[in-house]
Amino acid sequence: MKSCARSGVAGRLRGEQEGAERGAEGADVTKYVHLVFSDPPAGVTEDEFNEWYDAHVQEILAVDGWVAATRYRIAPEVGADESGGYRFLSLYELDVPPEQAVANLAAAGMGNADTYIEMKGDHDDANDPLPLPDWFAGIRFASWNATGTSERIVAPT
Amino acid sequence: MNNLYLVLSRKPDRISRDDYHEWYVKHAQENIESTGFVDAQRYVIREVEAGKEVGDEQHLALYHYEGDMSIWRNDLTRRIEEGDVVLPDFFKEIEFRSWNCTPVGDLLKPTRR
Repeated sequence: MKSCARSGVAGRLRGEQEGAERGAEGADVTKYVHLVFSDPPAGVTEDEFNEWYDAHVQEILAVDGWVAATRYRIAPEVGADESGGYRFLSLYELDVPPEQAVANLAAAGMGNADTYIEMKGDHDDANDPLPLPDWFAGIRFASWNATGTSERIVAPT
Repeated sequence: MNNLYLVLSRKPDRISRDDYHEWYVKHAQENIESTGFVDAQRYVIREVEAGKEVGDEQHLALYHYEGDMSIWRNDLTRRIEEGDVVLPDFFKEIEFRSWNCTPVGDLLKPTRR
């Protein structure tokens, strides 16, 4: 059974309300998504970066609204010159609208890289399960809020 | 875990938002008829800097697929060449950026909350 998307602003608003309800029930959390593209600094191995990032994702998923995440290795295809040179993507599934989720993250001291560094600086490294890597400030990030405009469209089986 | 093909786009100015979305949902449905695709979902997106949304609204399409990207890409190319998939006259005016995404690990869920 394929689902057809609604179009137009009215349809989108209806969809958002339904999405929020579904999210609250935990049945469908892909309505709201937050994307973070990243590029580790030179000299940091992929294994080192991935190990740190997977642990960092757990810090994010401890915040309200942040439900699950998938991390990807990415390669530009179309418009590679405009792709920013990012090599990794974190795709976070949210159960609240992304602006709310980002506000929750900011309240937890993780609104952006600078506040994250400040927060980590206030901690005693010995008691922090994930101390700030000395290369953290060298990571390039780009973040996007995404709100679904359609139901999931399913391929024929 | 499925692979992901991620497409960011910015509509041509002369095309209305509603017309763009109306076309894109058909386009996404049409695309995933090709072998390898699992599902697709479309989003409106905005970049976030220092916790605030900045810049103009863009469009995001996420396509999950199984196996090698060449499977659906070759099939889609063939369908376009054979006229099974017809692209609109404004297609070449759309600013596209896309990435092929391969999972680094499993879906991560909170270990404690």
